[in-house]
Amino acid sequence: MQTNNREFILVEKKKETEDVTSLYFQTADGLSFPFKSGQYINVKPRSVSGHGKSYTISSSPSEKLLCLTIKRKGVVSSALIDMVTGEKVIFDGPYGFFFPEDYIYDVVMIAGGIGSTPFYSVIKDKVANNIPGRVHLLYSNKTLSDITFLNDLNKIAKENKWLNIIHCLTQDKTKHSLIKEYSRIDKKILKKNLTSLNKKKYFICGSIAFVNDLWKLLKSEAVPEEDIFTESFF
Amino acid sequence: MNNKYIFLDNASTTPIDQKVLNAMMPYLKDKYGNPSSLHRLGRINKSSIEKSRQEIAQYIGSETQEIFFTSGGTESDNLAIFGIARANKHKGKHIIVSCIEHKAILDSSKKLENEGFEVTYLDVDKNGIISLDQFRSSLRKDTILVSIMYANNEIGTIQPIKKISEILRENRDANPIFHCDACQATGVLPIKVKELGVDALTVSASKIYGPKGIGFLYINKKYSFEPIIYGGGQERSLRSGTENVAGIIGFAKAIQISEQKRISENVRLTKLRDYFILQIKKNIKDVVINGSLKNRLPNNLNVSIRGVEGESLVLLLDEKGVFCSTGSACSSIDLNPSHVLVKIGLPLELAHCSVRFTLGRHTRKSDIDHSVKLLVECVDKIRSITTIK
Amino acid sequence: MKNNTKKTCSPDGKNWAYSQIVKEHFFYPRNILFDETGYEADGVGMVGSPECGDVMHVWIKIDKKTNRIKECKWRTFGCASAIASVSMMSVMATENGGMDLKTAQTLKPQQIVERLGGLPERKFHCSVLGHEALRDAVIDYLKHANK
Repeated sequence: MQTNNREFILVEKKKETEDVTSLYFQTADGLSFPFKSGQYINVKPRSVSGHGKSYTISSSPSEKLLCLTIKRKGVVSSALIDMVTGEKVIFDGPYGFFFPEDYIYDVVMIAGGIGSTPFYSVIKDKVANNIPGRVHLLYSNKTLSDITFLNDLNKIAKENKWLNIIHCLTQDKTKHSLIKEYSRIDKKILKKNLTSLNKKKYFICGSIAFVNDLWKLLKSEAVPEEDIFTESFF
Repeated sequence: MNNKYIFLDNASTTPIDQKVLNAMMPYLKDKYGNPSSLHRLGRINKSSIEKSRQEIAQYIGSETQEIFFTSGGTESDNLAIFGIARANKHKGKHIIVSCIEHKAILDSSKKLENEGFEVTYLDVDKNGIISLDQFRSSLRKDTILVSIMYANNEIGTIQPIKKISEILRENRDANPIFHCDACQATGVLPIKVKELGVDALTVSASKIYGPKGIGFLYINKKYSFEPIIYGGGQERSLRSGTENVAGIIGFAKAIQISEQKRISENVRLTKLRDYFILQIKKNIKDVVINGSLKNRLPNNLNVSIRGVEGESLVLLLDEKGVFCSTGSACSSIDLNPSHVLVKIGLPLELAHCSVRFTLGRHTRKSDIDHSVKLLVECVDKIRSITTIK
Repeated sequence: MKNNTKKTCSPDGKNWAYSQIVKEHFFYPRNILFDETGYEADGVGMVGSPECGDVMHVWIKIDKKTNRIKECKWRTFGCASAIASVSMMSVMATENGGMDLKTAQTLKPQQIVERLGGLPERKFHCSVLGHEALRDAVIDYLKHANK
């Protein structure tokens, strides 16, 4: 099978939420690692028996360090989050084609929990390269403290009028200035925040159940299948 | 065997023996009393279960009050790990288990790590056997519990239980309670607790042509353990809940029958199993046998057939009326292949191609011949569409 | 399209947790390429790994006049869901005159799962491989076509 293995060194760790950590890596050989926003890498830490997992790159291609923002869930994610700075790891990639290159039309990004990682990469890429086009990010999380990148995304939205973020909390009623909706993303929330659902491209990323639910929701609102793109995390 | 299908998955469960069913029936119909009741209907059942308990105790060479009935092997394993660890934590917090124990032992041990216990998971070699040296050097003053299964359910290999208990006896510092999950070994290997040198033992009825939903935990009266189920105080408050009377009666009967047939069945099944292997190797190329054939349960055959994914093979065989199981990932919840196959060092690619056949009391040579014929057909079909040539 | 996501076994045990359509594509898979020697594919896609328990190989032929997929053949090492997913994908790619290349590149696993009548959630990843393999094959064709 085709593999593109490169060795990376962990340079920095940043705790984003209770169970989500951002890990910053640089290539061991100092050479660049080209990738496109939305792509992922495969990794199998040496301490793990069984097979490895895929993680979306949350940094944009123009950033110096490669970032993986990982939610602690099982053996592989724990092994990565527990890495110490200076430790080496092999990444195989990049792979994937979630986000097309020509996103000049209005884009709706629908993220469920840690599904925001590819969108974070794309948004930062747009900022760095001045790529036009409006972005609506519907970001669903259980509680306020679960929202990864809350402040970073807010800062980008403040400085870039093309970015409209709609935070939705499904299990938390805490009033907060940044939170717009207090329920799962449904027909009402879509129509209220997007006005018209026409002439837009939709990108859904999250757990299998989340993506399947949103896929069905968009189709029930007559969004054409060719305008919907999905990436499920498993 | 039922001429509609061939059942080769006896390690997961067994059909109930007619004599066992006959022994159970009265307790499912007219003898329905709750053994805790004061009236006659209750007292009759109370004495029946005590009689069964006595028979079982005799079978394993223990005292009657050392047997505690549970809902099966999983509960007994949970009770052993949680019950023994928690009751003895003042003596230490170190536990040793093998890395190929049943999930009931592994997951319970993992959970205890959250309660401040430290667990050593012993490695195994390519035959699934622990290293006695590693075991010896893992023992510490604060080791309170050791749990090693007698025979593995996936590859059937047998651990050196007597040697392990000898090492424990020789060790001056450590004095742990030695628990052994004997679910797969019952009815195949002798399980006399004193000869084995174990302090606690798990046995399940569903693997020995008894009913599902009943098992027991033996624990030497020297040792204390805590219950994990509270309530009416049955089993001397160590396992509350209205007793599964019919199940207990059936269990005792199943043990009696399996002991009677043990030696002759071992000979018969070894021959059949070895014949099966011969026929498979003769008719199908690129087959690997997982685990050594020496020191293995006579009825267990676990093979990896290159290029043939396990779940697809099991389902094709199922359609043709042959029932077996697989260690492939696609059949598990966490998408990882069988932890046993991974731990014995089987390459992942072969773990996904593994299939387990476990013969039983009803398996005949004609069943093996027929199974081989169907296996060849299914393997040919899958190999024609596989990417791995 | 009715999406039967609740999967239960029927009382006689004859139905599995899989839909009838999945069963059909598993026992009678379509468009298998038994022997690729001499098969002149316009594009080839390959995804997965034996370590993960799923490997898919897809070979496509393009109708140069209509720029649509006229043949989509495959082989796979994988479970019943993987076999059924890639078989269904090959049918979707070639029916009704064949898929145009843009649609083929952006085929979603949800579309394959819907046509299969649903898959248990833990089997979803098998349908992802199907769509990735097709996309890989189309990209391979476009790479060579542009040369």
